[in-house]
Amino acid sequence: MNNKVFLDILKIDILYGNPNIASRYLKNKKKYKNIFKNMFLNILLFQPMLMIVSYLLLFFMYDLKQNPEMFNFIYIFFMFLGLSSGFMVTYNIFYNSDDIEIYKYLPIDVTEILKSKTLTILLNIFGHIIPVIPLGILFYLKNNFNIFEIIIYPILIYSASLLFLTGILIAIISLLIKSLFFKKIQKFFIGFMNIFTLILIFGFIFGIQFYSRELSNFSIADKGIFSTIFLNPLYTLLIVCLLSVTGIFLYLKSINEISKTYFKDNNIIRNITNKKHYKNKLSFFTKYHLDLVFKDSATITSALVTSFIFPISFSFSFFRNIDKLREFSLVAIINVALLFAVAQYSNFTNLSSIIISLEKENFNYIKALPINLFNYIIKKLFFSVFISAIFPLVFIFGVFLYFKFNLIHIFIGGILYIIFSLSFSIHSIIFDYKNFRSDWRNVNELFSRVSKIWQFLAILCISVVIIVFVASMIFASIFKNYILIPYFIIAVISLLISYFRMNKFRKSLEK
Amino acid sequence: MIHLDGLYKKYGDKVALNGVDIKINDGEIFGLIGHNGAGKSTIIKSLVSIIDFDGGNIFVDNQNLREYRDVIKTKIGYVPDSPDIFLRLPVSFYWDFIAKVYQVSEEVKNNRIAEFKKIFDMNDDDYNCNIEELSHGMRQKVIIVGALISNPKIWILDEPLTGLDPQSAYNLKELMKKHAKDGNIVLFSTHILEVAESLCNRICILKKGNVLFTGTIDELKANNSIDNLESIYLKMIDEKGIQDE
Repeated sequence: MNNKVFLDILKIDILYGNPNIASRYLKNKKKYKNIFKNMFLNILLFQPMLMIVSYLLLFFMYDLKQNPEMFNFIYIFFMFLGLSSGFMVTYNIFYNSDDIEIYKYLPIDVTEILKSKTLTILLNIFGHIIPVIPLGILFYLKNNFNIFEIIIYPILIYSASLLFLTGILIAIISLLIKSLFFKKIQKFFIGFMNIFTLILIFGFIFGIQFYSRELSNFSIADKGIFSTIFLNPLYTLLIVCLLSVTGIFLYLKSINEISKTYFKDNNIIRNITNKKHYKNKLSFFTKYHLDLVFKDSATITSALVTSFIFPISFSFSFFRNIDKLREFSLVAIINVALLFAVAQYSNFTNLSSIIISLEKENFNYIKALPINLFNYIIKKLFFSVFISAIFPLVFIFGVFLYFKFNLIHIFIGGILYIIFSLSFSIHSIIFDYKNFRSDWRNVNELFSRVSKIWQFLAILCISVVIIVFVASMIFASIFKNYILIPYFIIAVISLLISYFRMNKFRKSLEK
Repeated sequence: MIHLDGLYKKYGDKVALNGVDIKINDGEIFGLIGHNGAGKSTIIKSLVSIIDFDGGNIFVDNQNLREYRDVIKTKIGYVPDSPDIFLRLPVSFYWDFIAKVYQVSEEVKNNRIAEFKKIFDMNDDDYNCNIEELSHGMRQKVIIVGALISNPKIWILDEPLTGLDPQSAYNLKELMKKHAKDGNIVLFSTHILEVAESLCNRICILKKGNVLFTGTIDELKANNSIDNLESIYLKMIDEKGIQDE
């Protein structure tokens, strides 16, 4: 095996591991020739530099000398984030990769393929835990270390953490490859990992708010374990060695195991488990569409999970002032409902805007079948709205009932959410039909169908909703519930516009 | 020479290959013929190391595949049944990659690509893109060129003519004949009996993982009173006492 082949396999893995960056370069024919050089520069230099500067500014506001526990909290968070998001990358690259079959018949040494895949994982985690560097720089700066130590210790800690996480991830994947049980529960497990990552991010947002509020009340808080270790140069070097050696040991041991089993047939077992999946009483349409949505973790994350982060974190910032919220409960609930609907449907990979493209070539085939295409699309519309509405409705009902808000107000909020969702989703599904793509590999690629203007308008739309949210809470005491009249008028107008657009769309299909 | 010695493969409870014995000599074009699920692709995938077989042995030039897998792989150029591979790669990158894997020098690679482009009527402008941007037939040409770039001794082609335009299909058949004439092996699967009749030195008819016949078309016709290959094939598939599932 020569190094050129290894480098090419690495390029292929990076290309497939970063579909967004890749499609950006591939669209630009001028950059086409230098696609890999540009990608390497982007992943290894530009993105990390940008992240380091951003996180330096973000972490600068925390006094890491007075509150070393904050260092501990942020470091542990990024290690867990590296682990959970790194797991998804490792799973996709090692376990769920389409290219394994192709490499099998080429005269390529399996260890070279595994090395390249490991390096791809390393490059992915490289970005995820890069905030450890600015965190370390500020930590050592504020604790009055000399310039050499301020630079070198964070890099050492970062590198050791990177090796450790890579070793752990490869060890986990080597166990999973051998596990028959995992093959049966992999969809559930991947869904669980997505939710875990989401909870982790929420935990970080709320945790950092909590710490910055609580710790500011104390002059010196408890020192966390990592902040204690990293303040001592000898201990720092020891833990750096320990993390690195553990990572390398786990890597070497596990990669050896993987290379023995990597090219064994997994498809057969997958097929058997897939068959069991269909033994239930759901209709073919529902089973087929559930499979389309939930077969791939990227689809779940992109279409469902990511759009929830913002409305939840924004809503929760208002829950600090719960009495004020309860006083104008209907305004508060409707604002949360509107925020959920707008955040979901301004995400251009929301489920309704990809539900047709998810079928890929199948949709072209379905168009050729003697079925009413409009009815089929309507069924898709309701399916996508229903699936997308589950979490927001659970959130609205769960949280507001927990805080003992008026049940009728919660119902009105729920219904208004459904009206907004339905009217927004009609535009999304028509967009998907008109911009149907069957040749995508990662659902995030579908985002590239949207022009920059629409992306800007979506951000503008969310900003307007936030302004309306804040303003309505301020003016609610003056205008009382009359302030809700514009919401209902907008809901009716929005629904009417969507209805007429759908009608026009139906006529165009019937032509 | 390729020798499949009692090849046995099961998928779950289903037997895909039931002790298949086939010898393919140097200089032969050998066709695998059978219904869907007969075992053609399983034989091919076993030979090219995509799947591991459960019993029997495969020998290539008297080397056991299990022991000399890496050496044997360098002798084989494989065209899969679907050309939808490495779709995101630029065409030229894919060819470069395959050339490096098979350690083909830059000069030889460029010459061979130029030669194949001429044979398959591949315009430079049409192929200056990602594989996914090409039509099915164009992708098929890219994969065929990739498989042949290293001038491997053994060509293993799974339904190679599917999607090719008539001229390209004709040119590929001529290439296959020339390759076999030079003392090499061409093994391919097909559903099209006329192609097998016009191209193959010998054929193997498979049903449910069992070999029904191995030999030349003339031998097949001599054993049967009918002269039409299609009728003989359908009669054999119907008659042979292998239970349908």
